[in-house]
Amino acid sequence: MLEVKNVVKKYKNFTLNVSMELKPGMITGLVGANGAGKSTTFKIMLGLVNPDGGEVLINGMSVKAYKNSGKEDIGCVLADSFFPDILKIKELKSILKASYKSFDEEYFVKKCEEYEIPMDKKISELSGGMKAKIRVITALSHDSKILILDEPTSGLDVVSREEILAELRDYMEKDEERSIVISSHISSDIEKICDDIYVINNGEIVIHDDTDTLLFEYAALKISDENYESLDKQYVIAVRKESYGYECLTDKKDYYLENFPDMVIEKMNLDELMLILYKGEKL
Amino acid sequence: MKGLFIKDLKLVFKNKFLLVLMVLFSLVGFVGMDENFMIGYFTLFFTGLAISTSGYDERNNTIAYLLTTPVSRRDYVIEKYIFTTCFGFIGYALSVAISFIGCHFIQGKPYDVTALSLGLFIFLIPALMIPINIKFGTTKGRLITLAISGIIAFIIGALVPPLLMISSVTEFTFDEEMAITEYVVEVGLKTYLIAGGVLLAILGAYFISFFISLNIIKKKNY
Repeated sequence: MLEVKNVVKKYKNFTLNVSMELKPGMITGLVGANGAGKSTTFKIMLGLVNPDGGEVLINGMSVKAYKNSGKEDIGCVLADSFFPDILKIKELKSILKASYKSFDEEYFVKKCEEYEIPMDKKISELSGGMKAKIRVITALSHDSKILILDEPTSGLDVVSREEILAELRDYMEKDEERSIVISSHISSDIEKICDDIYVINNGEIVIHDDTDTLLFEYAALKISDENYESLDKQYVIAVRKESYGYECLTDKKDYYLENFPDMVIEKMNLDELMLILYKGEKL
Repeated sequence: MKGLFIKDLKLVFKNKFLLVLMVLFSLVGFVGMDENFMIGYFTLFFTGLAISTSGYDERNNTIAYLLTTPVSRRDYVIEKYIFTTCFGFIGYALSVAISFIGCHFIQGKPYDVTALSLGLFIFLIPALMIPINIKFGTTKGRLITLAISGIIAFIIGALVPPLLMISSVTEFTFDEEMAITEYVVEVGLKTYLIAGGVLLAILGAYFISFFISLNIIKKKNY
């Protein structure tokens, strides 16, 4: 559905080099620290940043050749970009109505009412939660096939985040051909909603796996300095030095459970996994 | 592209205070304002209002979002030129009408038709500013436009006085002087020729400016 093929973008002190695939019916997460390259990847997907190499294909067509009519199929939330905040919600509605053939005015108004977003208020006058919601409602208010969402839940409380995630689940349920690619600093949101996850670090995809595999097959091996040298490292992805010895990231938890029954092996969430990757050394 | 026009119209009408100011100026224009100033000021004001929409687009990084809607980079540039020119033209047409009515029916003095041509020069401003704004943004763009205007003024200031001196020491024969006088009278009578020349120059400037803008926006990362 959406393919990022060997895309390279070079900056003075940073090089992005990513490949990703978004499949129909799936929600794909992109996680990484600030400056890891998430927003640039999203902008390349949307044709906002011109890559130095590689290409982005949407339904087999290069994003460069994507016509205006094709953009009806894409809805997006950008972390740093939206309509001028001086505009009122009702004005935003008329702009969207004139921009998208498939704009669903009824849905837009209904959702604004549901989240108590006043049509007569300027975007700048909305609370942080309302601003985030209006961005998501905007992305969902036309008949899109792909949603590209950069930090849609950023800065929100748990209730607002849950409401936005529920909107995304509803969106997916309406058509099994739809798909979403989403980034978030809040790894629990990604764990809850995504089918597969890409982890990006310093402009490179360092891990890609199903969410279930990441949460249940990946684990932290905690071992002392003496035992580290003799450790079977064939399934160790990254190592981080700790005061007690080493913390090793593996994607074959069962292998170590079976072969090293005395070893301390801990399940981990996405945050803990990323910490080993960022603070440690990749093997 | 319809969405872009609606967005810019809504943004322009956010400046309600300035629009009220315009109405007041119009009233003054009826009773006593010089037509040259009136046309120049109105056209500049309306053009400036239209150009100011780029500032709003930039403040919220709106251009990036707009390009994710069914709008291409080319559409964005085309809309900016059409919107700015149309809005400037509304200012121009209004000021011509107001100053004409003011001169003929209120002040009772002859209308200075050269003001029509001079007002058209204002339309060169968008041709200069749109590519600069797209390349550098509106804040830097304003400074760069000021710098370029300064350079142009300096060149004119440096070149015109020596040229005038040269022309003043040049001795023409009687026939040459007659020919020049006839030419000046003829051209003076046919102000529309000057207006046509100015219009052609503006169209040329727009043509060049548009392709520069297009080239800049295609390479730009948002």
